[in-house]
Amino acid sequence: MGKYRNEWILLAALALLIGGLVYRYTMQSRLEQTVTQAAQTRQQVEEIQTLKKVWSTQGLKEKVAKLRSVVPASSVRSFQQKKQELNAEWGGLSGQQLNAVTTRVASLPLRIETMTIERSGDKYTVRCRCTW
Amino acid sequence: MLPDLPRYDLMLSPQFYVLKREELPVKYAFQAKKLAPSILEDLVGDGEMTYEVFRDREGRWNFVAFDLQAVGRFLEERGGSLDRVGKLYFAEQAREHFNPPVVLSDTEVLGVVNGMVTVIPARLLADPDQTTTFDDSFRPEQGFGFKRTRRRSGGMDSRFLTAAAIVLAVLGLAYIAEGFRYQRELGTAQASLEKALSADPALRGSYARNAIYKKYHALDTTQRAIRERLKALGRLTSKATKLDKVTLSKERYEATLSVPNDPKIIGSLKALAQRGNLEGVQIASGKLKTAGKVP
Repeated sequence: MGKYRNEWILLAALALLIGGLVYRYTMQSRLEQTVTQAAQTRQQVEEIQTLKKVWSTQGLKEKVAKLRSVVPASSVRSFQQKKQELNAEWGGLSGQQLNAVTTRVASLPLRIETMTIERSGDKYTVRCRCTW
Repeated sequence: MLPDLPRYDLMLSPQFYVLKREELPVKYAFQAKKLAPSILEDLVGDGEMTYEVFRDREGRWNFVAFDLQAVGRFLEERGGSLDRVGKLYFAEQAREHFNPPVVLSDTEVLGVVNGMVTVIPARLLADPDQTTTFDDSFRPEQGFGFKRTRRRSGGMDSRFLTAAAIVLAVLGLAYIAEGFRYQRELGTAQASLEKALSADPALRGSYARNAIYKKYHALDTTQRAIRERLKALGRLTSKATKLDKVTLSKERYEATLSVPNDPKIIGSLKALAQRGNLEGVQIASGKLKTAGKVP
């Protein structure tokens, strides 16, 4: 042991260097990983929060009920609002009324499952099934 | 065991060296020393040998080869160390003092045989009581600077090892310091991640977060696409063009429009349809048909 004292010291210094290198690169790699993950998570969380806001169903029931009054009551052929589903049909609509109905439906955060528009002469019929 | 002295000089007995005496027309010791390896070539075995030369009283060159590591091992076995050795001497340098012989042990004495200092079995002495004591008077005038010939017993130069160890240790510490810096930054990054997640505890788990993200992303993509198709179809209508039938679902859309046979209007309708990402546009017999996937 005494004979190789300096060699042992060199070996210890080498071990310190290797240990330091491993520690440094491990920390660097972990940092890069965490920074990337934090950025991705933050972006994802922000996006989720925005989408939740856009597709929020808060107060939607009342807004959906107002769809009945977008056009005169005579044009509302059926309007069934059950739980979180709407089945509605508007008939005898002018071009302008058709535009008003489709624009209003599209402006609400409803999930349009199906929508059909048919023309008969100058009048249009709109049928739609939406959920939320 | 050797006395525990901080420093001492060493006179090597013939067991530790190989000696050859030559009369050579060489003036200086450094010249003779260069010749030593070839002169002693046949006498030394393998291993790293150290060579020295000195002149005797008759003016002859004495070429000596010895294994310094073997000397070091011998000293260490007796509690000594080469590091404590100041100067080296060879018994041959003090030849005239070994007559009468010097007692080495119960069985061996160091005396002169055929003009050379030699280890002799004690029983061969003519008069066992006629011996002399080894003292400072044996010290030859010329000693061999140990620094000049020294090799560390471990095999590598001490100063080199120390310097290398310092460099490696400093580098190692620098890397550790850098690692600490990264670790501190890691703490900040983790805090930032925690802050982002604290806004909505439901999003803390990556599995739940990804599921929620996928759900909302799919919903947004599909519903946005439905609305864009509806808007694009609306842009195609005018006084001259009218919607005949539109069917929209989460998977597909189909639309038929009545259009005039005016190439100008048809051209502008095609351009509008393209801008609105409407697929499979076909215009024939006054009808424009388009169908495709949603989204």
